Amino acid sequence: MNDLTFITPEINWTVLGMPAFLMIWAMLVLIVDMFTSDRRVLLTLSLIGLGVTAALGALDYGSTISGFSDMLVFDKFGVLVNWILLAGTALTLLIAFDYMPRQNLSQGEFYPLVLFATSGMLFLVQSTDLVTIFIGVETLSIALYVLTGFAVPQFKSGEAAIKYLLLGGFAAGFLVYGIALIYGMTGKTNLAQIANELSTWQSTGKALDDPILLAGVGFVLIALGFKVSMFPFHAWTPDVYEGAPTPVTAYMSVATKGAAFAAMLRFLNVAFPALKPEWQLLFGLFAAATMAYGNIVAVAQTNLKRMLAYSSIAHAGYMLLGVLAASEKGISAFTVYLLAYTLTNLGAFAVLIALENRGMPVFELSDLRGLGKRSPLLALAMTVFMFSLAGVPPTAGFASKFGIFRAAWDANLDYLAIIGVVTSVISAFFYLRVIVTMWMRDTEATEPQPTYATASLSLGVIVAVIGIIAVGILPNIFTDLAKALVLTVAP
Amino acid sequence: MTNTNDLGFTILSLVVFLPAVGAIILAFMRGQRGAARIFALGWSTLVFAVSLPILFNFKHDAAGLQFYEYFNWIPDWGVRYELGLDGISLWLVLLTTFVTPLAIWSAWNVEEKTNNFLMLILLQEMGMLGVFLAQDLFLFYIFWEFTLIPMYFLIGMWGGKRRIYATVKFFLYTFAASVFMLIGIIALGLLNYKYLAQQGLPTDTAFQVQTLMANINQFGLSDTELKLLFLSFFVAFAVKVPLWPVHTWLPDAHVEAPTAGSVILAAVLLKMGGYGMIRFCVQLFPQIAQEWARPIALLAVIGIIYGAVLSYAQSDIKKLVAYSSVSHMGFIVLGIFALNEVGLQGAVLQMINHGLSTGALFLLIGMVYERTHTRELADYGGLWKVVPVFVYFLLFATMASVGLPGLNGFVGEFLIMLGAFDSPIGWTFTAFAAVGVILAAVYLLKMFQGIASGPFSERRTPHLSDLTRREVAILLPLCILMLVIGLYSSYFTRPMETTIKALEAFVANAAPLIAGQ
Repeated sequence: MNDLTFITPEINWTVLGMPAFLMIWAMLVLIVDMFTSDRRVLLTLSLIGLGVTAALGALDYGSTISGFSDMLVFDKFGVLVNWILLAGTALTLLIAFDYMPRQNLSQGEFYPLVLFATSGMLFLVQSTDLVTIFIGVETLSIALYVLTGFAVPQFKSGEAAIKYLLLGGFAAGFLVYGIALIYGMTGKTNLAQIANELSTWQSTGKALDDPILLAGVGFVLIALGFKVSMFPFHAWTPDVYEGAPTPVTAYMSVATKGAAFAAMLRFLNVAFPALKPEWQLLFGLFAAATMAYGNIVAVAQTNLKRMLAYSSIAHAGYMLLGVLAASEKGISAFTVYLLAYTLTNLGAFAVLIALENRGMPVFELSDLRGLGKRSPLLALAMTVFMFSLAGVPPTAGFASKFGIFRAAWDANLDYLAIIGVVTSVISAFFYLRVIVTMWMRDTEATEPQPTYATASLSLGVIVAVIGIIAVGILPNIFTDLAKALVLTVAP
Repeated sequence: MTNTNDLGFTILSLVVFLPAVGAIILAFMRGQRGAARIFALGWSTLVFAVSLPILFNFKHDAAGLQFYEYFNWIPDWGVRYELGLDGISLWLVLLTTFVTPLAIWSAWNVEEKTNNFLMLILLQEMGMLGVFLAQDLFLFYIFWEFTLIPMYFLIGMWGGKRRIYATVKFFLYTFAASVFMLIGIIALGLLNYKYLAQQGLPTDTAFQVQTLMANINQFGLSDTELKLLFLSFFVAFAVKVPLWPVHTWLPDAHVEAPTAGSVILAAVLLKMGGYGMIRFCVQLFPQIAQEWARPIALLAVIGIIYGAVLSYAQSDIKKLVAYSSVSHMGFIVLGIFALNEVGLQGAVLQMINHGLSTGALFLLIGMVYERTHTRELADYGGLWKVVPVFVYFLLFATMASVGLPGLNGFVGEFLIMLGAFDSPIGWTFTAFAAVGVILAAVYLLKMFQGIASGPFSERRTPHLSDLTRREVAILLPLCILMLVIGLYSSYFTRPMETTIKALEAFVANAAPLIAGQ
């Protein structure tokens, strides 16, 4: 009987710590949910879990550790992005806390589902292997499909969930197919090993522009581009954003994007630096189209949720600039942008949540009329968010855009920087319209509509506003933290 | 923070951020309208008082920046927080701190959301002071864009009937022009960063104006690249000034703005454009400024004539004065691009003069509008007999604006035309500008005559009463200054002399560009 030994794989808890802890914690919250219906307990538990997960990242911050046969990595970039995602998740839970029961969606599964999704994102951000990237993408997507349809008695929510599921399924297909093609050509799934393999190609004179390899890279990027709603893979965004429960929309618009962009960054910069001129050119065009399309179409929207959906497409374009710059400056600028965008967009959705009545799925711009009179503080917060989205100083939106354009210009993507500022002007038009509506137009409604600025939501909004001003005035705090971000290239 | 003045404290930062402190205090005075007004007036007067030591401790013989203070703000990007002041910005800073209390005092009748109104004016003051003092391009841009926000709300919430159209136009027009400056700033900062790193020098001053002035010729930029960079700055400033043909936001914004907003807009906000042209377009790109002096002067002259003709055609008094601003600001651009000592001195002095006289005109129009609720010139007439004190002040401000010798406007315009005549811009453009002076007399006297003489109609201009003591007290300091500048202009030109001489020498000695280099 002695010849049967069970060999435990070497588990590096530092590397896996953040996603694993959050996953386990989410299961705990799920179990607790069976015994209590007190939402406050669930919220508190979830926030504690997020906090501990963030602390796990702080323990070894600064060191670079690779684990699980180099499939996962624990590095500064990963931890930093994870922190932003965790902060975004915490804000999401705060702003959802009173909204869900108000909409008759009091199922406690909401909290563990969000934590599951976040855990998948953390995993994705730390992935350095095509297989782990796939696992990460699927973990977060499956939780998100459920969350999108969480308000399923409402027709639009169900429609959004089906749409997201079907198209997401297609995207997953592309992802797997792309991985298969890349593996077929290089015999590797590890990002760094793919790069090594390609450099051997180069040294032996084998052409890099092999159509099958290029198709593989393209398919993976289509799948990730779908997740970040990059033009022309954005078409699902407005419908899903409109139909999903607003906190879920808020969450998807920042966290999913952040995680998928982080994966894209690693995929392009670690595995395919050899093809940089090709993807910089192609994705440069996509980035330009994304910025232009998102901002121009947003001008025509009168529904606020759809407007923010198109605006989030546009912001994906700006973040793409940081990815494309493919430099230390670009990576650092990307993280700052992600932080600024997370705070701002969650804040803006929080204000919508505070105004959303039960059974009122469509949210028109004109509903904001006279908000400056009705609840000036909420309107003031929304003003800060809108100025930040438009990139007006002294908000975080400006500081982060400055960093992105600087990185793009430095990487000789000057035409993208110019398109970026021009589209920023277009975006100012519709963000300003929100401000005009709130402060300068009076409501026609005879009876005042109620606002639901509850304690937890207000806390979320206040945190967002303070964060935006802090990053806007003292971006150095965060740029210092995000300095010298080098993507790990393990053997 | 490193401080280089003899006062022992960072006076410039104090002056810039005091108004913001006032605005925060005002936020806690909700519901106490009267107290808030008195507080805002007192606080802005305090800011003015605090800014006076700058004038008294200003060293006339020093050409460089004074009261210099800085700390490393975003070292990773090469951005520093840097404030400093020289002969060009000295009077503009004082003009800002001087005009703001008067604007606040003129807004005594704002009944709706008074606290917000006063807070916005104080925030506006902070932004404008920051623009005149910032010596780092990034910091400058932050203040520059920030000035849009309070004015946007001032016009949009307390303005006239078409206020939303006017304020959105104002914001988008200036924002659109400014983002190209952002690209220019990013490009210059990156070039400087690389150059400094290459030379083994500390890179934390990459966006500093002084370092850029010293290094810009070492970047190896081609003629075209320099011109594009120049344009990215120039367009932003041209819109702000506003220079023909990008002036169209101004009449709308001026007409719809509340009186205090118009005063700040005319007196200080437009000057940011002129200041920016001197500080950035001329100082950073002296060769391009020389090369393009004539085309820019042509735009300025067209603006002078065009503004004057349109001003004459207006039936709305406020619009008339707004177009007169287009005409007058053309003179300032003409003076700047004369690129010699006399022209630049005249331009800076004229910025102050225009601030005082047009500010006074907008105040007067606001005062009479509050009583009659009409701005149609045709409705007015015969106010000589009814409200003589008002008419005395109107006559004084009109004459100053026309450029009557003995008052401030004459000195500025005279210096500008002398400078332009003596420069490559030449006598033809100067002659056309001189026509603008004559036209100014035509349209401003038409306005004065229409208001003061002729038959008085009780029906069309009802409830007229003469200026109150408060209103006289607002106008008096402005008028006294107009007279003082007119009689003792040397006191005002003296502090800027050294700076402007140095600037003239700098431009004259700028290495000529070799084509295709």
